[in-house]
Amino acid sequence: MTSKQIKIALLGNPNVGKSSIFNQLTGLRQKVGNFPGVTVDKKMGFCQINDEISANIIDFPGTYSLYPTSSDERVVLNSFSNPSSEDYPDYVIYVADATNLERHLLLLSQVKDLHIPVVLAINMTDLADKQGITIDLASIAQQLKVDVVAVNGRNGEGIDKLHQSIIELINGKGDNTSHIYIATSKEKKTIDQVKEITDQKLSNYQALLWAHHYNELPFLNESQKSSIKRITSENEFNYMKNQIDETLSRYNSISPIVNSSIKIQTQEGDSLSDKIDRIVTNQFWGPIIFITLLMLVFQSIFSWASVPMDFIDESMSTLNEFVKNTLPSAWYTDLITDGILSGLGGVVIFIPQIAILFFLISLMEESGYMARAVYMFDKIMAKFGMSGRSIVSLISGGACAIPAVMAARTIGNWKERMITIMVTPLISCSARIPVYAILVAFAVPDTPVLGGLLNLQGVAFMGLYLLGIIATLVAGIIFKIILKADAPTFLAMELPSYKMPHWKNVVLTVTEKVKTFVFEAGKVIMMVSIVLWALASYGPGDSIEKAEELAKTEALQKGLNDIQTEDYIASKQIEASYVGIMGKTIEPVFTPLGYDWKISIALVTSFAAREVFVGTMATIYSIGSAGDDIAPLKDKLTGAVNPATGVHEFTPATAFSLMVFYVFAMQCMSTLAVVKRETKSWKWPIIQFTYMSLLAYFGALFTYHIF
Amino acid sequence: MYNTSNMISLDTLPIGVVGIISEFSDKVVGSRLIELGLYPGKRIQVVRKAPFNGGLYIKSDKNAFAIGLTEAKSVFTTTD
Repeated sequence: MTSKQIKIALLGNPNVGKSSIFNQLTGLRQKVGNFPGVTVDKKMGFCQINDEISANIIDFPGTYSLYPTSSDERVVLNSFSNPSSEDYPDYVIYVADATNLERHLLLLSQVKDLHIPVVLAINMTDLADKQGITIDLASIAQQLKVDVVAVNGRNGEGIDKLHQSIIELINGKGDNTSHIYIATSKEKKTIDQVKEITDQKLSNYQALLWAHHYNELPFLNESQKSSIKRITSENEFNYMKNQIDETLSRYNSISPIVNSSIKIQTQEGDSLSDKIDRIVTNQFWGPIIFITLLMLVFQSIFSWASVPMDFIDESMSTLNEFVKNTLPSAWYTDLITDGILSGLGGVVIFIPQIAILFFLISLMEESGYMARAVYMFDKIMAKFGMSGRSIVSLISGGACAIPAVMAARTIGNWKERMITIMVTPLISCSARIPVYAILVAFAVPDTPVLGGLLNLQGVAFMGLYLLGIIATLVAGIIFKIILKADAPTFLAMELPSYKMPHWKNVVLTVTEKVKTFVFEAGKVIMMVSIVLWALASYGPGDSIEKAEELAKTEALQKGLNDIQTEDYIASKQIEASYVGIMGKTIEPVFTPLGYDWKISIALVTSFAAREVFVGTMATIYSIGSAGDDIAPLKDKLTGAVNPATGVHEFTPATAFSLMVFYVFAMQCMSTLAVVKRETKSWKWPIIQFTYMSLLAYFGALFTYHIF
Repeated sequence: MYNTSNMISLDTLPIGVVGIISEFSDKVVGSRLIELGLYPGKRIQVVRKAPFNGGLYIKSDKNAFAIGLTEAKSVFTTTD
C-alpha cells in the first residue's frame, strides 16, 4: 500500500465528549477554519493512523439528527448530504455515550443509511460502569453491522483500537449496503426521482434528505430545487409527518438492540447530579449561585487580569524605550515604536482577559453547569432576543467587550448569538471609566446625597452604567424584531450529568481562543493602529515642522519651562497633523453636540480605544506630560476660554453630552475587529458601528440641549 | 390507543407525578424531543420549575432535560 491521505469526520450528539476524543486523536496538531457560507468554526486536526495512512479529522458540531434546528447542525447536513462537498468524509468516527445509548444511536443509524463507512466509538464507559450499566459491545456490533470500540476520551484508552478499526474500514471491511430505515413506497418513488436530477451518485437516504431539505441546501441550483419541489408535491410528501415517522421507526429498530445488549443494575436513590441540581437549580438558590459565579467571573477579568495587563503594559513601554534609545531617531524608529510596537501592545494587552474568561467559561461548559444556567435564565433573556448563555457575555462586557463577544460563540442559535454580539458593546466596559472619570469630575459637584451614603459623582457614574444596560436591553428587543431567525427558537434540551472538567480540553480551548484573537482580530487592530499613528504624526507637506518651529518661538516669548515647551509643541503638532485636520473638518458635524475641533480630534484618536480620549485631550490642552493624573486636565478644561468669543469652551452641557456619547458610541476598533472575526464578514461590524454611532450622536445632541 | 380522558399537557403535570408521553401538538418541538429520546410511550416526570416562571426540569430514564413553559404546553401526557 502506498501512502494515503484520508478524510475522517468525527460526529456525535452534543455533550458526548467528542472534543476529548478529537484532542486525543490529534494532540496539538489542530487548526480552525470555516465551513463554507456559515459562521460555524470548522475544527480540523491531523492524525497519523499508521506508517502509510494519515488522516485529516474534521470535528463536526454536536448534532442530534440530520434534521437540523440550528446553523451548527445545518453544517452537518450540508456536508453529509453532498458527496461533492469538500468536507464530505471518506470515513466517520461516530462517538456515542455509553450512559445513553438509545438516543445516541439515532444519528448513527442515519449515518449508516448514508452508506459512509463508519466505526462506532462508545465513550464514557467508565461512567456507565459507575452507574451499573454493562454493555455487550459484540452484540451491538453484530446487530448494527458496525465495528464498535470502547474509548475513554479522558485517558486515551481505546484510541489505538480506533486506529485499527479505521484501517479495517479502509481495507473494505464494513457494511455499506444495508438500510436501517425502510422507506415507504411513496418515499421510494421520491428517492428514485430525486436521484435522476443529479449526476452525483446518491445513496437512497441522501436523496431522501434532499427531498426533505432542498430549500435550505446551498449546493443545489435553482432548477434542481424546483424539480425537487415538483417531485415532492407529486408524491404528496408530508415533511413533518415523514420526519417523525422515520425517527420513530429508527427507534423501533434501535431500542431492541440496545435492550438486548445492555444490562442495567438499577440503582436506588438519586445520582450525584440530582443532588447537586437540587441546590444549583433551586428556584431561590439557583439564581443566587449563578450571579455569585458571574461576579467571580467579572472580578477576575476586571481586577485580577489587571496584574498581567500592567506587566504587559510596562514591558511594552520598556521595550519601546529601549528601541527608541538604540535606533537612530528617524521616521522608521517612530514607525517601529509608536506604530508597530504600540499596535502590538494593543493586541497583546487583551490576552490575559481572554485567557481568564475562557478558562472560567470552559470550566462551566465542561462541567455541565452552563446548561443549568440556560435552563434558569432562558425565559428572561428570550424577552430581549437572547439566550441564557448571553448573560455571560453581557456581564463580561462590563470588563471588556472583546472576550465578551468571543464568548457568544457557544450560543447555538444564530439569531440569539448575533443579537448578543450586536448589543454587548453597549455595556459600559472598563475603557470607558477614565473617560467618565474626567467628565464627571468636571461637570458634577462632589456633593453628598442620601445623608452621605453616596455622593453626586457616584450617582452620575451609576447613571451612566444604568443607561448602558437599558440601551443594551432595548437594542436587544429591537434586533429581536428586525432580525430574521434562521431556525425556530425554543427551549428543549438535555441537561448533561455533571462531570469533572478535563484539563486538556480546557487548556486547548484557552489556547485556541487566544490564538484566533491574536492572529485574526490582531491583524486588523495592528493595521488600524498604524494608520492612526501615521495620521497623528504626519501632516501635509512640512506643516508639522512649521508648527514645531512656531511653537518653539511662541514658547520662548511666553517664557515657558522645558516641560511646558514640550507639551506646547506636542499640542501644536497634533493640531497640524492629519488627525488635527480631520478634527477641524468634522467639527461642524459635532458643533450641535457642543464639541469644538479639539474634542473632535479626540473623538478621531479615541477610535483606537476609548481611554485614548483623555490622553489626546491632555496633549491638545498642552499638558501631555501630566500622564494619568486627571486633575490638571480638569483645571485646564475649567479655565479654557475661546479667545475669539470669550465663551467657555468646555461647559457642563458639553461634558454631559460627551458622557452620553461615550456610553453609546462604538469607539473601539478592537471590538469591531473581533466582531468581524466572529461573524466572518464586515457586514455586522459596519451595521454595529453605524447604529451605535447614530445612537451616540442623537443621544448626545438631546443631552446637550437639555443641559 | 391512548386513553385521552386523562390526557394533560406537560406544564400541568404535577411535580413528581410520572406521566407517559402520548402526543405533541407542535411538530417542531415534538421532533426535537423525539430526537432527544422523548418519544411517545416514554415515562416522564417534572422534577422542578425554573425561577422567574421559566421552563421545567424534566427527568426520563435517569436523564435530565430542560423544556420551556410554552414548549411544555405542546406536549401531552397520560397518567396511570
